[in-house]
Amino acid sequence: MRPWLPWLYQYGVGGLLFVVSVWLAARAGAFDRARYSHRKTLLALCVALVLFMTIHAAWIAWVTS
Amino acid sequence: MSAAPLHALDWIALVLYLSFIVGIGVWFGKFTNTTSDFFFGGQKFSWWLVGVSCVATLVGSYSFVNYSEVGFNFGISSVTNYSNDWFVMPLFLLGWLPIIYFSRIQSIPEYFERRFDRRTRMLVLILLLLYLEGYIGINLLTIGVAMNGLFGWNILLSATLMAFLSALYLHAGGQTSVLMTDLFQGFLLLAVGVGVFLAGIFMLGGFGDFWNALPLAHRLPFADFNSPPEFHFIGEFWNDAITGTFAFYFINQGVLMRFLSAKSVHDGRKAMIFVALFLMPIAAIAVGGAGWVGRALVETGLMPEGIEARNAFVAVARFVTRPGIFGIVVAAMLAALMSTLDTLISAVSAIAVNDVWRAWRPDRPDAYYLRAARIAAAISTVVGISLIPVFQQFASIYQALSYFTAIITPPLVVVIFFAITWRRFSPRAAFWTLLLGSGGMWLSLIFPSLVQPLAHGVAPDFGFSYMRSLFGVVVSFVLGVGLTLASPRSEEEPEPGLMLWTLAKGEAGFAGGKPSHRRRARTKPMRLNIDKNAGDEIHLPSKVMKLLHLEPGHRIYVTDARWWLGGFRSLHASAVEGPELDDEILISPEMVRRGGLRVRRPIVVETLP
Repeated sequence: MRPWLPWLYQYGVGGLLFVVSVWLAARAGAFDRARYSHRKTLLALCVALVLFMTIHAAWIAWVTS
Repeated sequence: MSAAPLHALDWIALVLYLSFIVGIGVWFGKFTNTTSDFFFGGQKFSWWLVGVSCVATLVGSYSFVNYSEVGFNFGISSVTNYSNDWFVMPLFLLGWLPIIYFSRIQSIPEYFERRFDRRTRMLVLILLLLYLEGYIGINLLTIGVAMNGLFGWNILLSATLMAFLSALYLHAGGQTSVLMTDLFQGFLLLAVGVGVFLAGIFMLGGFGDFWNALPLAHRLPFADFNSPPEFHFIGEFWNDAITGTFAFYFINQGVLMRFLSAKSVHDGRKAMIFVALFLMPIAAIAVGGAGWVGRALVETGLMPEGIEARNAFVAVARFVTRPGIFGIVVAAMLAALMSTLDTLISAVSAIAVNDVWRAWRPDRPDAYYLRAARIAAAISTVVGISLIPVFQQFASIYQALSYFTAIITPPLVVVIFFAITWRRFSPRAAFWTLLLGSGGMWLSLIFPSLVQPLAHGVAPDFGFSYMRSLFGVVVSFVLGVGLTLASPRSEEEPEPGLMLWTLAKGEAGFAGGKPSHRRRARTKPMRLNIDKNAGDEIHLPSKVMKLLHLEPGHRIYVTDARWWLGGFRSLHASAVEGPELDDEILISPEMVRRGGLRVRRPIVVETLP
């Protein structure tokens, strides 16, 4: 069993895809920082990603401790 | 599944439920007047309604059976893919959703013609119809097998009966009926799935006893990295989290139509975040929970050891429920089928009318295309039923499903990714990436060893069925980049609004008035003042225009003041300054009819961000 390897891979590779997507949207002007609805969407996405990352990490630590 | 007879109370619950669903579906059909209503429900619904109905589509008839089976064998990691949608969400919410919403794309193939050319559209049309009809056939086969196990009925006959019931209300009401029935079905299937899980935990003596009864590997949120070959993390990640999620939200016409029925892009985004953040974790428990408690019940000796994993959901549900309640569990399984099936059938109908019929018979009245849409829905159902015997030839339902999705999905995913993010990606590169990418997928089915270099150490026992997605993505990516760089740079710019780079222009051109970039604002409840000379615009008093920071021509949304209708009685229109009436807006009878508004009911006026 390597319980932390899937977590590292998922949030490493997936996180990279997430960051590249946001960067592409911002560079192309599809994400406009001046617009409240855009800022709110991005904030929700980032909070959700960090939330799931933390829950999964805490879960693995709890089960393996 | 054991074909034990249902109790009379179970039958009563089942018949009442099916009558109720068909009844409300047919009733909502009376609000469908145009093809826009039929396909998109008039783009007027609130985020929570879109979100709940979307979950009903996400949870297919096979979900309870499949995830409970995997949950019984491998534990909580069976539902990892219900919590890993986040990686493709930025591109969907900031790119794809506004692109298709503002450019009023009616079908996925239409996007390909507007972004590339006609031959790419035709190729995508064929691939998508195969994909959707295949899914319809798989869903029907699953429910046929389930009903055969439960009641001993003939598979083809029971699948035909369920297809007929779904098509009945879809035929009447299109997307509005689909949305409204899926709202009820979504609540039912979540409540039943979670209910079975909680009842199992209660029988075990509480959560602590359930948790302690599970083997250690069953408690982890992720499967082992690359073993065993039939279920491992790396396959789940590439097959579901990346390719599967991307395909589901970007190329599944049915899901796309669901988000296009939202009253604004902002509401579509909220619906998506609501689904992924709150509803998907609940759905994960609903579809996997029976398998987890089934394993714990077996480990503690409360259930016999001989239970077959693929029967885990029905066996556990029977074990923890009483007569009458089990009938509701069966109704939830049927709800899962009908809510997925109606979405898929309406998607095929949209593609058939918008991509085939309109091209063949252009410039006809809307009522003509609405009739065609209803006929297409009926034909699509018949084709789905006729595919059942074909899929029965495969060793398992899931083998059939993975075979046809693996061939179609990865090239489409890569081509859409480049289409929206890379200005230089040319029509020629798009067409040949799709064609050669699909060819590569076929080759990998004949020679599975082609997938080996990308298999991340997974054993080849199952022909790398999960890792084929990564192979397809890599092959299509290389083809897309190579073909684009090898082609001369095109001087022609695609139509504005179809790429991330030109999204702002697409929004500006969105019909229904100029966009307001301010935060959402709304009035207090107001009354309708009917004037047959008011035209297609809504006339607002100057103080309301000022309150909402509106200029003449700005887009507004007028809705019944009862929030729980979810935008069912509402419409979009352009605002103009009108007479100074106290708490009243001036509106034409035609606009009242179009929005389904009630003359005596208060309304509110909103600006949409």
